[in-house]
Amino acid sequence: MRAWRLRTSLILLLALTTLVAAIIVGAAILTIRLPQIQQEASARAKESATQLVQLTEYFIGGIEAQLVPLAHLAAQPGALTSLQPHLDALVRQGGSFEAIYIANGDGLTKAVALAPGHHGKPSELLGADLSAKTLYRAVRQSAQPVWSDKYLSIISGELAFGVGLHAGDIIIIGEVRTQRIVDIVQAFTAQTQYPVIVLDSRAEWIAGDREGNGETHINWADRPTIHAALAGESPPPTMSIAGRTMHSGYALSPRLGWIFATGVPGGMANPAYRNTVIFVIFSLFGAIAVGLLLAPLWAARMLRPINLFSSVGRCPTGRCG
Amino acid sequence: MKTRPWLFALLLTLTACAPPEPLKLGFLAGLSGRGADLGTAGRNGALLAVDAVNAQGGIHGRPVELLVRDNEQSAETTVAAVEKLAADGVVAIIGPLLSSVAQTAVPVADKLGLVMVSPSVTASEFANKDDLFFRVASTTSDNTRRSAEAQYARGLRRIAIAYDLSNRAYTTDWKNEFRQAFEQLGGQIVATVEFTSGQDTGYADVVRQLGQARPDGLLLIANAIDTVHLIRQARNQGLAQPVIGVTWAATEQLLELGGRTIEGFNVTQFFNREDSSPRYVAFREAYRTRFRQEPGFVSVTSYDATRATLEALQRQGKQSLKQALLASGPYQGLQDEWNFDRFGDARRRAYVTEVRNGRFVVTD
Repeated sequence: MRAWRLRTSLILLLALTTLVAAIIVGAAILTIRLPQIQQEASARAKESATQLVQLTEYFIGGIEAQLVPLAHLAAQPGALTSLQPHLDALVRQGGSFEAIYIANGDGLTKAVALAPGHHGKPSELLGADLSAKTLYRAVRQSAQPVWSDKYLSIISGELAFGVGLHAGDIIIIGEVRTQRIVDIVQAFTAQTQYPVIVLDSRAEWIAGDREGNGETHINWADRPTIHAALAGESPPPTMSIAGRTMHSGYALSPRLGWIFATGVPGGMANPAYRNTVIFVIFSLFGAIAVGLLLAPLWAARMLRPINLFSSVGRCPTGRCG
Repeated sequence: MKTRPWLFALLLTLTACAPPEPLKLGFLAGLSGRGADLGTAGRNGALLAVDAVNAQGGIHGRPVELLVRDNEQSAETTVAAVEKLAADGVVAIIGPLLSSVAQTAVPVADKLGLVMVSPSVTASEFANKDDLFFRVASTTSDNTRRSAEAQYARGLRRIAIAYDLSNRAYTTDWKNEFRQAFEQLGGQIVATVEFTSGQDTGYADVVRQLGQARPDGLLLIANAIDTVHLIRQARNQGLAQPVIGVTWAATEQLLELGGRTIEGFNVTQFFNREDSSPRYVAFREAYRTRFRQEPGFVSVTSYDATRATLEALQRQGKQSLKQALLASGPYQGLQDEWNFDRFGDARRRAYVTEVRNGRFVVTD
């Protein structure tokens, strides 16, 4: 075995002690803190999604509320024939609805109003049978206003969202252009610092951070987080959004039935995670640098008495100093 | 330079551990606007086929990824979408669904050397051409002959036709082929009225012109929405004649949008919703579970088109995909066995159906 000088051994001992201590403390910090950061990220994703749901529902509620006075009027006996001016006023002035129509208990449309610039002729839409429409059926069975998923409108021929409510036997349905809803949702999602996707209850794309990408045209039901949301289960810890793996959280909109999924960056893309890792690495290198700087000095200081003894021991032979 | 065997071994191990690159397959259809119901149903069928193949280990161990593009029913977007799919490295494209879109898409794909397999394009102008365009559905002439025979057999002799110019390649072909087949049987086309979907022309005017010819049957060559509007206008104007439609309209949306208005509506299509074969029943259950909807005819043909393409890719070897598609048949579809002819056209069994109590019922 190679014999080291005492000074070298002392330098190594002091430097290694510092290094090992730094590694142990750093590993402890990483072991404890990193999972905490990941949990915090998931909680933040969930919180962000919940806030988006609340904001969206607040504004959606505003659109829905425009139909409520109409429902009160429609509930009056014999009011059906006098509702047309109110419908026309609502589509012209409200700006929210592409079309509003009123159906009787048999599902036949009795009054229709179309937004200005619409191709259709309202008179040709009278008598349309809505009885097989999913939204019509859902409204009939609900005491509350009901929102649809994205659907093909018989009135406009375009993809739309419908909101319906009933007053007695009378059903009132308002159709909102998908772009109007997308604009509202995107106004909120743009304010969040995290990627967001909003899907209807069939996991079809409504809005989010992937506009213009092919992913807006796929059905998301097979993604683990969305699958969990549809099944009412806890989401997996991560999901892939915008090509990156993120800590996921979702919230369901009770009013709309839509899924709001948010991803908070995971791993080194997460600032808290990254800062912690960088802090530990810098601490480690700092400890090594300080150790390497101080160890020789400290070793020299420790060896001074021994060196003194050694030089005194050499005096009888005439080799003092 | 001194070689280091351990370094090569390490690199080899790392390469072996890397997940295989997905095999990209394109899907092109109208997923917005008036044809969105057809596009979405087709996309869903293709997604289920890709899922099924991936569940079996993919193609030569590579997972399949479906890249979906919306052509927005516009020629410009169609060209851009095909070029984008080619740039993304797809091996083939499933689609398009409309003949008018195929007129734009096929030359572009041909130029790029991309095979296209359409689930529902039937126009005769694509038949008997030795190109890279394959079709899973029977040609319009097959459908019109079957439909004309069925209408003649039920006693119709004077038929008035309304057809939509927004999908002209399909609708004019249908009109011409039906006229030929029906007149050969001894029937007569008493009026043809054109309209353009989504434009200001009222449905009432179209129906009025049809009615003036005093037909004993109305043939509507239009999509689901326009078909519903035209039938309602016909009934509003007191026209009680039987109404015949085309496969393009026979989507699940038609049943929902039409309600009782479309009772008795007659259409020839290559889809039997009452099929109780285990293969189709399993597909329908998977479809309902995944998409919370009923599958439509184009869901089935999209599934078949995608499975056939992936099967050919699996068997491809050193052949081109075109050769593999032509050589790998016959294909077991969800409802029947079918094959491509040497021009890549298919012939499928057609069913004469009628809407009864809100459902398509096979009558012949």
